[in-house]
Amino acid sequence: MWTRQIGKLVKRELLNETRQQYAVFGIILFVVSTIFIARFSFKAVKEIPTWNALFWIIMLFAAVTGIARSFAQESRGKLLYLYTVADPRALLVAKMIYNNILLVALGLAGIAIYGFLIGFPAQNVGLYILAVVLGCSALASGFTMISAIASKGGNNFALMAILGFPVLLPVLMAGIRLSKFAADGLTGDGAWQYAGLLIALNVAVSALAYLLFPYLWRD
Amino acid sequence: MKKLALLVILLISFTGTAFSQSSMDEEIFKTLRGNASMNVVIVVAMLILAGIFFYLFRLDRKLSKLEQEVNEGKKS
Amino acid sequence: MLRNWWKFLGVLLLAYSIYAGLATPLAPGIISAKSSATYTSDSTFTVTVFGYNTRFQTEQSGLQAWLMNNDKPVCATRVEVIDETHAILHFPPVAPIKDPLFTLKMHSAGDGLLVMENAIWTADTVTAGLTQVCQPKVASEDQNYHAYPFRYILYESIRNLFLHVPMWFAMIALLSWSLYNNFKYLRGFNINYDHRAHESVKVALVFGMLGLITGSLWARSTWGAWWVDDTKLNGTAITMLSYLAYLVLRNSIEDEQKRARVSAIYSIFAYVMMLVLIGLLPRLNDSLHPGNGGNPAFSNYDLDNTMRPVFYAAVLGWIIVGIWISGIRYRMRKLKEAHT
Repeated sequence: MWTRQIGKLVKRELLNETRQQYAVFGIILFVVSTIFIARFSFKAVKEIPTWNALFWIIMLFAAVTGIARSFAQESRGKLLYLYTVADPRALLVAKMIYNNILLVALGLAGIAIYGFLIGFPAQNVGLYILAVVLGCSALASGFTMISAIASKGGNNFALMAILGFPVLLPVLMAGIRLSKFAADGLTGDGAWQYAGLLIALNVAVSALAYLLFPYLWRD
Repeated sequence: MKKLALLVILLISFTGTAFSQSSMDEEIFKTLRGNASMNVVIVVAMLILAGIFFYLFRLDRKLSKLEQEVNEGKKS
Repeated sequence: MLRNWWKFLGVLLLAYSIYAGLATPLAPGIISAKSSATYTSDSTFTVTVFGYNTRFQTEQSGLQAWLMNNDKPVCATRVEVIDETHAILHFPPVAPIKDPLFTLKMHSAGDGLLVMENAIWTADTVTAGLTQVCQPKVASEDQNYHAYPFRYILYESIRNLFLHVPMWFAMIALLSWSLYNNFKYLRGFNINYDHRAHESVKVALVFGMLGLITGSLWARSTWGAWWVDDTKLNGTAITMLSYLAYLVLRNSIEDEQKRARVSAIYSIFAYVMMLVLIGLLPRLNDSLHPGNGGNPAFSNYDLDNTMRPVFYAAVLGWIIVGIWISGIRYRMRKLKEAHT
């Protein structure tokens, strides 16, 4: 019952997206143009830490732009209707799953474009991609909850950034560190520690969101 | 309030020059780093006290305003 | 009177910590030692010693000095005392066994054992071995005085432990108090708990600011920079940012109950992330602060038995004062709401 509900809601999100394609294209355009700006201003990024951090900063802003609409795009009436026909928590889980898919895909596309235009000096490609997947997934879960919170308070892009950046900084830092390990070609306990931390943060953020959402959705 | 801010800035700029050397020679130790780094303890203690008292004064002013409001409310 | 016992306790604890924190002297130590010779193996040489809080003159009769290289001591032939803090040590010619660095040790009954690691450097490449090995007579290495440990670089600023560190403890305690009130609010939707949570966050931010400013000053004098790239420092700064965001969020919602609910949820998030930032990330990373990345923790040797009670008193005292101020703010707010 529950899984079916969630499945239907995820499908609804995907349908919504295909119907208004400009939204997804907008984010992709955002990522591509930011990477182009980076290319024009840096030419080539030689230092690996800078190269790595720049990618994550681009992803962070892409996450904010992509997920900010998550709760805001729905009209109040539509949300109310959804809450009556489905469990509010199911809606949150569906949005989280959808945003995870969106951001992980965006991250993979982003690293491909970034590597193509700026260069890909990372030594351990597999681990780097794992870092991108884990980091983007954790960012997606966190920003889904933040967008739910921000939609209650005026819901502008600035509020989303103000609320999200400091709170999701541990996620970003763990992502940067893990991908730094991958870029340097190091796979030791250190790298796995950060991978574990990213997964733990993802689980913790999702669990918190799941537990607290019942207090949030009512108006 | 402006005066207090000025004082804090002065204090900080003073310590900035005071601790600009980290050589451990006896003379430098005695003069610039100031009493075996005791200066920094005193400045830190002063800053904490100044900060807390500044905050309490602000709170006090807020309370006075509130009292005024309450009294006016009673009259009308 | 009795109802306010904890406020008196706070005042007493703070008074004690400030008094004991400033009045207890620093243990004696050697600040600088200058050798008269670049090559120590061809002739006798002298070492001029500058001590801090030492009593060379008073302890002149039992004062010994020796250099250590590779665990082998070489005693001074004569200790010439100038005053309480200055002495000139006369040494016979010595060639090092292995590395060209000597550790200087001095001992007297009153001052105990004074150690300066790598005090003297010699240009000698001869490693023939020490010629003048002696046996210094140290009855007991215990320092039988009540003083704070003498640490290089820190010196007297070790006292900042009672001033700077409690600011952070007070901030975290107030944020925890706020979290507790947030939970209480979410259980019964009583708006009073939300007000309490809000006011304690405001006071916590004041303590955070004070901790940041004092920490910056202390860092300037010990580490040489106003802001060091340290995980713990950055973590607390970001925690403060997230609680500032909490205040922004509160401002953007009109309805009281809705504001209370949404901000309570956000602050629970912020608190959990603070635990990760301050508690977990520094452990995975190098930090200049004690207890992280190989630095000694307060618990083992930096915080010795002389400092511990004073430190705990300061922490508890500031926490009580913080809760007290937030209580006053809360009462003011209630009063304001009752009259408008």
